[in-house]
Amino acid sequence: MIVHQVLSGAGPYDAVTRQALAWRERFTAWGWEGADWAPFIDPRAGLGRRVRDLRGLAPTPADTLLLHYSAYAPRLRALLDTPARKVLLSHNVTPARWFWDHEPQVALQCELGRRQLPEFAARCDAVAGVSAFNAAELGTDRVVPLLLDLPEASPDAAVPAGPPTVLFVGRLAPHKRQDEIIRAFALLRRHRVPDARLVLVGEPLHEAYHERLRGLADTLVPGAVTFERSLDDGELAARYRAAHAFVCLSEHEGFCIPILEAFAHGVPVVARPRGAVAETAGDAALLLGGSLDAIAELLHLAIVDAELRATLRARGRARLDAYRPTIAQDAMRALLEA
Amino acid sequence: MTPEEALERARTASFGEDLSGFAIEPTDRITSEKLMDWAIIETDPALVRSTRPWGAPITWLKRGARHLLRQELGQAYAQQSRFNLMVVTRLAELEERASRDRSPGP
Repeated sequence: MIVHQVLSGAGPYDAVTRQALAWRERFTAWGWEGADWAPFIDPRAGLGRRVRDLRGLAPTPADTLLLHYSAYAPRLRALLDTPARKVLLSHNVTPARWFWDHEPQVALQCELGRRQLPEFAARCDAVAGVSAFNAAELGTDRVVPLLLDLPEASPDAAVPAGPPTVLFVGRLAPHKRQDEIIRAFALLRRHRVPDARLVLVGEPLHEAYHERLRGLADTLVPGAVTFERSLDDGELAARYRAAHAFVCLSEHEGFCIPILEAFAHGVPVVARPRGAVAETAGDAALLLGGSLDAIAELLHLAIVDAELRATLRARGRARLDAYRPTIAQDAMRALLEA
Repeated sequence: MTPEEALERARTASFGEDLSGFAIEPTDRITSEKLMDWAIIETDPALVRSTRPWGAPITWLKRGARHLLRQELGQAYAQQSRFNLMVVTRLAELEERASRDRSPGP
């Protein structure tokens, strides 16, 4: 079988790019041929020949094209006219309403990406989402979960040493609501845990946005918030191991891998149930769409209550069973071999 | 404490603080005021930079090129902004006229 993967774009620290590379390893292990392509390849990605320029792709009727749809990419449209079998896997596109005020170029990409998605889906032979939330937008219930390489969850993770630390991992972007995380954290520090620290790991939308968030942190909780980016896998794992709680207040998520990473490291999760967050977390997180006061209180309880921490760690370990690689692999084979 | 008990307790939490500052609001409806704001093109020179490792020389070249082309770019921005502003102003006038026409007469 020949399967070519096509990305909207390939970049460093890009989850969709990493997914495609992980799937390519599987495809190769299954004896499938093909290559991975993108209309734009960020030179910082250091991908070498692992992702090729889309202009070199000439699919035949015997090929299968797996379109990892995550953004507007007009150059992908020509592929819809090729004779190859076409399968679309939706990673979701953030609604533009979150970007119009902050980054018009990204907003346009999001707006056009969401407008283009129904057309692409209609012209593909099969469609699926990496979450039920994404799949539902396409009018299907077909899900191919993300292929994840998570550490084995330890049942006896010790309480991290050091000051109580709250962690969020995700791009510094408007829909990720780091502004609300900082406010909830300020409430936590002022009213419950005065020595708490907040670590925000993620690439910023742009430096001006980063500075605005930093300014908010310096105003509300000076010296208590650390912004980090470009961490390698080992450094990121260390941040999870050092965290007493993970918080996610995103207004839109197509999957949210960091929640599962938190489970794998035994970190209790407090989250707002938006997008696919509730689906990903199952019953293993404290899910509440309430006020920042409530979020701060949940963070406090997740940090200090040993029984609660133990229950959440156990549920988190159990939740990871739903995302075993074999489940994703079986779903992908069923999608592509149909 | 069980997770369910934690959620119940959190729902009643109230610290009575109003933490102001940078806040995100999604843009669902574009007002005439927002359009007027966006009509004028103003680029941010800080975003003209190389993102490559050791990209400082490339950043210097890019910003130098931007400076050298400022007369050309200035004309383009001014002409586009002029058009944008006139369109938004005309739109505001049409909205006002439509609003007057919808109002009940004396």
